[in-house]
Amino acid sequence: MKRVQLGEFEEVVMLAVGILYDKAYGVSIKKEIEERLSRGVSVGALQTALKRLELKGYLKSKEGEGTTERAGRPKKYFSITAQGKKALEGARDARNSMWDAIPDVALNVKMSY
Amino acid sequence: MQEQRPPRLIMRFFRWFCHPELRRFVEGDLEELYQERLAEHGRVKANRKFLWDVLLLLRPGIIGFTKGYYSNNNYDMFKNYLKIGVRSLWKDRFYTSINLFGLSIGLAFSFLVLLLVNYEFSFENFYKEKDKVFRVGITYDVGGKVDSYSNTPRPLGPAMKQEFPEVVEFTRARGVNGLDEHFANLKFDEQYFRSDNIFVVDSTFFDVFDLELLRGNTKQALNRPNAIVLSETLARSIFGDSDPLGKELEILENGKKLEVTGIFQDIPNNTHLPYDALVSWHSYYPQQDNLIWYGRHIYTYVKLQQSDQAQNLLDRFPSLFDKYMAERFEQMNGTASLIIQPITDVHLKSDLIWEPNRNGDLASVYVLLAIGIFLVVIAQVNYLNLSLARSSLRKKEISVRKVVGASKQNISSQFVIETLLFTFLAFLISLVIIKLVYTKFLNISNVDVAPFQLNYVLIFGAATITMGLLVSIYPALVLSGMKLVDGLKSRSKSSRESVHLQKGLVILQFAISTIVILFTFVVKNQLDFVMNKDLGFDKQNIAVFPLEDSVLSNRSELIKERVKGISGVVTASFSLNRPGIDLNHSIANVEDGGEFNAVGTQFMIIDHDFQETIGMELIEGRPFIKGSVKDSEESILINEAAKEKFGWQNGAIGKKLYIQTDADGNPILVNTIGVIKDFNVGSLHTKVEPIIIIYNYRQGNQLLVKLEPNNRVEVVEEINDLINEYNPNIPVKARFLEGEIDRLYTDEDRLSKSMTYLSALTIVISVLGFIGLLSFSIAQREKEIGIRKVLGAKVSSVTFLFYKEILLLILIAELVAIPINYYVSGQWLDSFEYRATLGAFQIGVILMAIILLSLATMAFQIIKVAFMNPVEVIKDE
Repeated sequence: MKRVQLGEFEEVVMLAVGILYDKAYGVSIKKEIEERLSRGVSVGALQTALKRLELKGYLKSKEGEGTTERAGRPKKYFSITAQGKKALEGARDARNSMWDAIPDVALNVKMSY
Repeated sequence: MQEQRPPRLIMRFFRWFCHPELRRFVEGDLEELYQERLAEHGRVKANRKFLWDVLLLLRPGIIGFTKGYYSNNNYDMFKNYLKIGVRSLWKDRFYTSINLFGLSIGLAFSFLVLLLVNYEFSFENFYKEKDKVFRVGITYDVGGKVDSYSNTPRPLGPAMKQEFPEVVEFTRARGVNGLDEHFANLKFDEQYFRSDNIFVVDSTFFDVFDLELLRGNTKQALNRPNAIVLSETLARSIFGDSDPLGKELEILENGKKLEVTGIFQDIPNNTHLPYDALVSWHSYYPQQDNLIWYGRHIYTYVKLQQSDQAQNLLDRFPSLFDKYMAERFEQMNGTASLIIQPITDVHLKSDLIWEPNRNGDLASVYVLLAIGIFLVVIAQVNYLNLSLARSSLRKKEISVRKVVGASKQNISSQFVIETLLFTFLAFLISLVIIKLVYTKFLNISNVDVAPFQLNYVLIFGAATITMGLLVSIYPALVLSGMKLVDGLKSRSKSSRESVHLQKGLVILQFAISTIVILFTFVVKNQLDFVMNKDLGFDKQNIAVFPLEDSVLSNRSELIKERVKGISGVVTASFSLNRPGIDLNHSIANVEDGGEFNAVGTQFMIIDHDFQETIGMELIEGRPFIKGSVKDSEESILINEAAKEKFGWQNGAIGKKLYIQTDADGNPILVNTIGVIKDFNVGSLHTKVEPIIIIYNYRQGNQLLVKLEPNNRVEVVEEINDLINEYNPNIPVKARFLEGEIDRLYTDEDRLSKSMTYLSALTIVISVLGFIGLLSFSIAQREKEIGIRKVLGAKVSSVTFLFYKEILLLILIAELVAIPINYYVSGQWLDSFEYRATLGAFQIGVILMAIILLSLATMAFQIIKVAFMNPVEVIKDE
């Protein structure tokens, strides 16, 4: 099986798309990430990540309605594909298994003093 | 209320670079964000953030330039042209490789040859003010003998500066061991260093020739007696890393001790006056020598205010002549005129008496230039021809392109691009070829130029591409102008003009190759002739030993007699002159019906064994008698040319002349005792001049030894040892006269060698082109041949069918070539006083050989088609 590789920012973007479910488009994804992680996200970085994820087949998109505040430009709604879901799960599992492997002592930092 | 929109300019910028697929969505996002920010933070901040966002969007994932349909099409079409070009070249691999091979070789060698030509034209270029520097020479017309010297009397330079306002500065130069003998052995710390280029010069040398000193001061370095400045290389070879300034060197030949006062950077090779060291003129020569207005020559250079004032000097010279020289010249019944040569002309355009070094030959340079151009022309013609021939195969492709909507320009540019692709490939290959052959090539041509200099390669590349463009024009026009229907119906008729053009080009090619080959033979023939011509003496098996050292010259006779005793030595002679080296010129006052007329003549001073040693033939009178004081004082021999010139046709024996006068002004008369058959002392470029031969039995500065043909090397060793027993300052080493004389023709030899290679190349490239063309015409006519054979044509008649056409073209080419070659080789041979022309028979043989060779190389293809089975070609319809 092809190795699943998700960058940290990609993972964040995909999770945001998941959270927003059917309202995930450029601006909303950007806000979601900015609010939850309290970090700035530039339109450029976000769009690049979205494009890359779509190319990898983890996200799919459809054209949405245009509104007045968008000067009539359509929104591009993203949703997670089955493959994307697998990739996300893979990322989580990998982390969990690593979390599990850490001996309790190592995390009980305070105890060692 | 007016709706607030993001700044238009920034938005347009974004639209310009954004990938079209993303544009609408991202633009929407940007718009939405902008409106939000506008409401929250106000216009300024919104604008700033908008700009920031747009700038951050400028990244690889987002950028995707809009391709307008127009430019989009062109770009892809160019890609397509290249692709098709590569494919069509690959499809006809055989012809492509023939063509590419020919063109690359042609380019490579013409590059090398032109590099050589460029070198020959670049002489003195490294002097910044070269245009203002002139060499002064002088022509004497004394007693009917006109001689042009590359040098002048010594007071002329200073006088010119004084009398002529145009002359800014002058400098004089003289070889350290005699006018044109600029070699010397330097002694430092009991070690000897030989240099071939040492001149004694005025301290103004640095003002005339802009030369910087690395050490020392140009104003002072040569401004005192016994000073010498050295080139960096010579200084290093003598002194190593220690400081040369202030050290003392001795010139072995004359025992002068010199102090090193300066170091200059080595000067380039491309100069007629190369020097490794300069010695200060100051009190180097006896003062009275520097005041003589006739004889005691030196090289004189002047720097003028402006480069166009040379004529002024010539115009002003008569007044200077009247003031300083007229008195002396009236006695001699002579006049003098000035020669002013730009130093840049000296190397190729000057061949005067006693040049400091052998100069180049302009005719040879032009010949090389022509060949350099020919090589490219022939190679390009190949390409043109083959692409015209192949054009019939491309007709369908072109027609289809046209049907789909290609314009004439599109088709033209396609073929231009193909040609450029091809030319570029050839260019790359030719660089590889240059890399492979240039050491050998430059060895033959005997110059040292580095081909891989950026500017040379760039010019070469640019020239190649330009030529490619020029060559592509015609096929591009022909193909793009083709009628669409013809192509689709695949009527494979080439247009009449292009067939004519092809034939014309083939004729051009063959004519050029024939001219080059014939000319090569002319050069070789002439070279053979001059090397083997009867010079009036026998140059073979004669060894020359220098006796310049006074230890040796004082014992000339003794050494000679001892050498004669060695077995393997036929005879020996010492003398002051020898063939191959310019003789002294002066005047003699010759008896003519009771009066004495001044006549210009050459002088040769020899001993009584010279005539036998060198094998000169006495045709009248008697030779010098051994040891006769009377003969040495009162008798002379003359050559036939002198007999003629002196007007003594009715018998020269007993006739009198005088060269010098005694203290009271009475002539010292001498008697003519014999006449020697004419012999050539110099190269065969010049004719035999009158010579007066004077007897000297006391000492010579060289020993000539006639050897038995066997064991020459051992015998020469033995003589070397014998002479070195006398402990000369510099150990003696022998040279062979034959080698020395043959060296007079180094230019011709060089030309002949290069021509041999280059003419072989031209014929190879031409034949390659012919083969390519022939294969195409065979391919096109295969079916015709098939039908002919079915109808009963014999192998021989098919062969004849092809050969008939080729032969006609070659014959026309040869006919064109003969008169052109006649003219060109005539021009070249003009520089020889004695020439050998090719006979009609020889020319005939050479032409036949060219024809047979060409036909033979094409035989394989023709015979293949003549023997083919007609079924193979007819069956597919």
